Amino acid sequence: MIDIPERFIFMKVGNHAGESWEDILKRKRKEFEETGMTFWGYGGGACHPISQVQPFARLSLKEQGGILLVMEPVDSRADPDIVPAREYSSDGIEWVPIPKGITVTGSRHALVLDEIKPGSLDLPLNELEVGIGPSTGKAAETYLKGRTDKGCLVKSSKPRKVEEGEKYKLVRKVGFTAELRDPFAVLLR
Amino acid sequence: MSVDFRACLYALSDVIINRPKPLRHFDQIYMKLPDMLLQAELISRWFDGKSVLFIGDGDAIGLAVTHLAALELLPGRPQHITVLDFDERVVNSVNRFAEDYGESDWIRASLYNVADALPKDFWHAANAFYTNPPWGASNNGSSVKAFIERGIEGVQADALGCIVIGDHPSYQWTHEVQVATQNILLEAGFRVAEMLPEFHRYHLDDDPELTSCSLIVQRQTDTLDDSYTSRPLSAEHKANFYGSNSPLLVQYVRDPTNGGKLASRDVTLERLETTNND
Ligand SMILES: C[S@@+](CC[C@H](N)C(=O)[O-])C[C@H]1O[C@@H](n2cnc3c(N)ncnc32)[C@H](O)[C@@H]1O
Repeated sequence: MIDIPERFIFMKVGNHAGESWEDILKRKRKEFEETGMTFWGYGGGACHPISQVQPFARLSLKEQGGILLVMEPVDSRADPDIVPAREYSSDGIEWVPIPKGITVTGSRHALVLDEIKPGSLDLPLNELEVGIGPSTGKAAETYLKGRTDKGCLVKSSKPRKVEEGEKYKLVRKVGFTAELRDPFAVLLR
Repeated sequence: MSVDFRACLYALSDVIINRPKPLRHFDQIYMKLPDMLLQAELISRWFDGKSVLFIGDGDAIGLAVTHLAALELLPGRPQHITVLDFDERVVNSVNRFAEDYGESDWIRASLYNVADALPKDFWHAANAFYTNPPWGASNNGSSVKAFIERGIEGVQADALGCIVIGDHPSYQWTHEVQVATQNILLEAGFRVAEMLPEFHRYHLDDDPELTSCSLIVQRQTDTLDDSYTSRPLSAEHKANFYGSNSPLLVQYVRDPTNGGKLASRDVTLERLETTNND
């Protein structure tokens, strides 16, 4: 088990119909070997690359020397999206081609990662809160209810009390981790 | 005055569908419909007969007030509204709408980035300012400060203001930013004339409960040094503009569709397959 960092990015990640976790990791490892980095595509309002992930990661770099993505794998039956992004941008101004060997499909945003490694970690959401943006300070268990499946999280200064028997409900099981690397997160098109 | 809700909502629907797609990149997070109506009503009363300067207006409150007032659905109306925004899509959407509905005498939008000095034409020119700035959760209101200061630079001695900023009991940062905001305003000689707490909600998909307040402020003085002193923002201010470590890097957001005149490249069409029976 690894320790819970002071600040980190949490993401629920789904495999796709027809592709197992082993396959995904194999594919991503190959991308990493060929290009020295990996793009992890995502979408939605939370964790915007420029207004949230980048400033959060820069702060974390200053405070703890790096920033970790922790992933909770879930089974999803969604069909894989097929349209690959062609360009990426770290500021929305300059766009450059996505390096040969990297494929990201069906996403508007991507985290830029080092190697993805298996690593187990139990995250008690009642001890965490949102660390950036308009939801700063919001309890992680409330934030990650409903439509939101990811967040820039920090250890909470005010952990919520939970009955011993109820604790398991608020624990998220992390199966994989990866360090983010500069520029941490990008826009895709 | 009795309110014709259906007529109000029809008018607001037209304003809302005219708003460009919000960009989270720059904290464009739009206000929801019911609160726009209440906010427009508030502004029409307080700013009745005034010339008003908006510093940023993705929400389209300026247009909402103008359009509802043109249809005689509000108790009062500003004499004129100027909207300044760095997003050309916002600017074009306001001007095009006003032209289409014959309301161009009442509202005009121009491109302006608050990082630049306020153009001389706007210096101490209006009777009131309005801003719903990027709320600055993690920079203790640096962006809020910039927007409000531009608003203050744009008004005369005797002036009103309306500031819309985060306000929610579960978010400590909203209260911290309010303290910073009130300090800036007090410093410039404004007092709080009305405060409507937890008054609006937003299209914020990861946190739809977050609310903001309307802070109406007023300054009553006849003395104001009129010499032009507006300055660009400092490098340090720009470096933490949208939040700490979240710099302002963009001069303008451009509108490649020219206000919807040119086709957007967001959609592609696929041909209906013809069969032998066709
Ligand atoms: C940042 S948003 C704040 C939230 C508000 N509810 C909204 O979505 O309009 C307010 C407006 O400020 C504009 N804006 C952002 N940064 C700006 C800048 N540096 N200079 C001028 N306007 C800016 C945005 O385009 C937007 O229309």
